[in-house]
Amino acid sequence: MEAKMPDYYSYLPYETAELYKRYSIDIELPRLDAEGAADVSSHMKKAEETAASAGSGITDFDIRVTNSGARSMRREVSIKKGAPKIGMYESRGGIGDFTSSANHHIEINIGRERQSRIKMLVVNSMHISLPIHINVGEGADLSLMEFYTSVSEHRSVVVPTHEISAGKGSHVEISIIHNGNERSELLGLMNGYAAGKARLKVNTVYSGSSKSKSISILRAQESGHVEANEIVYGTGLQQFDINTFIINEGQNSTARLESSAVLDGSARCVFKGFAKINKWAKGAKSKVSERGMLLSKDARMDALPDMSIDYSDGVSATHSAATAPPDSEQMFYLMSRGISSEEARRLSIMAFMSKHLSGIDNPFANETASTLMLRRIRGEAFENIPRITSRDIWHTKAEPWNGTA
Amino acid sequence: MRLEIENLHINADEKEIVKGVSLKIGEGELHVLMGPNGSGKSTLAKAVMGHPLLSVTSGDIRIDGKSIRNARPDERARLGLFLEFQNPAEIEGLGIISFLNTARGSLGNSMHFRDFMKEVKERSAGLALKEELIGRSLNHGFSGGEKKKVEVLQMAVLKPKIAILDEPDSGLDVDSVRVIAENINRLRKETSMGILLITHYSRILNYMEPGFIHVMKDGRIVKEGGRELIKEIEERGYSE
Repeated sequence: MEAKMPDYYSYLPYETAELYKRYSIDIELPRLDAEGAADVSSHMKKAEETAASAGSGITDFDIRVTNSGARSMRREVSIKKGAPKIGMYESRGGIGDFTSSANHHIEINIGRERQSRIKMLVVNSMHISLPIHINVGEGADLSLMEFYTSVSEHRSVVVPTHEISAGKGSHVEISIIHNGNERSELLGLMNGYAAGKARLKVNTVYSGSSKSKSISILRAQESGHVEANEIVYGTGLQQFDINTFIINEGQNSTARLESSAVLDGSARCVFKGFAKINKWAKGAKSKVSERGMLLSKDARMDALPDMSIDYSDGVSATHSAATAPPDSEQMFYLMSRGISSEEARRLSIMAFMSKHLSGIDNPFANETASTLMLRRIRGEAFENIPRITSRDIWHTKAEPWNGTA
Repeated sequence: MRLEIENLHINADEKEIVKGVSLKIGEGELHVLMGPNGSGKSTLAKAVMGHPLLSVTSGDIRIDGKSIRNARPDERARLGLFLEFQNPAEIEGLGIISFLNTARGSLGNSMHFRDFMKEVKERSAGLALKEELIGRSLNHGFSGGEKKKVEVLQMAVLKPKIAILDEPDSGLDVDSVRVIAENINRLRKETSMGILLITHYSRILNYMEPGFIHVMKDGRIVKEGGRELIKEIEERGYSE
């Protein structure tokens, strides 16, 4: 079966604007008949081993997904055969076709008033399409962490698709950490919905993969709250195209989008944050903030915050964007305390990232993301799943004074 | 340790701000540099610490006879120099403890972390700094007084040999000025550090025993002497 070329942005009105098109990074979905790489089985074996090796102590995962299949240790989680027949992916050209190739999808159902903490690991060894449906009942509480990595030695594409429904008065936090290797590409889709008085927060950390694109839509009903916290760390030739739409649908709803990127080398990141306040959303509050730190002259960030406000009485809407290199006065201050320029730079970057990482409430996701970021800042070699050693954080070693003036 | 500033000329944005200043600060000595706004005091302090945007066009800065004119700020700090900033940087996301721990490691302080924390807590209490404040990001959202106290806390923990204090008293209430002065005095006694204290006002000097007073105007030292100069400035100001 031959997949159509992707046309996933054509259905979003915001993406049809010439301005947005100019700032798009495309990800070509693989031809489905091209998956038969000669050493697929060895890759799958490696993926299985990687997933299995992450199974002890602090890095224990409740759900493990590889190309061979998904397994879950949790009652609230169902692994269903094939792709789901509902949602935003059905009729959308390449994505619909690709998603329908999934050999399983995951359903997470949290009953009313229940509380759950779930950790999921996805190890990709070729191409993987992973539909995830999350239904959280009224008054329930879910904190889900998803960690994605890749062991493929060929180009591979990961397509996680989320449908999230946060029931009335529920609290939902989804923390997604993308750590694919340099041959992997990511296309993430999300459709999230917070019912009345529900809180839905989505933290996404983009670390690995040569190309990442995401399209997320988060909607808040009456007195509901949606929040997207996006953190990008890019080096080399990495590219990120992050499209996020927060929509105030109901009265007194709140929506917040915080995007931040640290870019080095020739990395490029485009943040397209769009906020919409519907015409009946009296008392709604919306905020879009996009921040970037550029570590090299060839790194580039394009910030395109945008707002559409259909109801003007009693609503509050703000947007801002800023991009800058590390602050020279901060650097001088740190160095005046004996900290080397390299370490001062690292501290400055880590401080910038910490502001955003601190928005991740799930302690395990927070620790994992912080560790991953720290290792990237230090320039350490890629590791599929970073070992969590919080004692490493802030460790420093100064260069000895060589006595030369 | 001895800091010598010899006929120093400093440019900022190609404009000469400091026009030939010489000072010598030895171990345990307390020097006070006074002068009106815009006289070049802070520029001098930052240049001695190695601010990259200030250019030393002539003259020299030496520590124990060795020029540090081309040394980086971190190298100067590792030789024992410290600058208490008039307007310290706010770094959101960098915790005070993490920062101080990194700094002391950089300066070769191998004290056990537990003892380091004990000292931080004791010094903070001595400065009447709330413990909650120490758990926060460096200077982020702090009041002017809190920032000044955190600067003194850093000096107390890092124990430099020569400290340049750039207006540690500005913007403080009477009680805070006394607390800051008492802590500086205590440190002087404990460590014999040499101090160059920059101030506009004589208020903080009511609690201190400076040995040397220097008055700076328009980029030059125009008067030098002992405590008697303080009274003179109080009575006549800087205009005469």
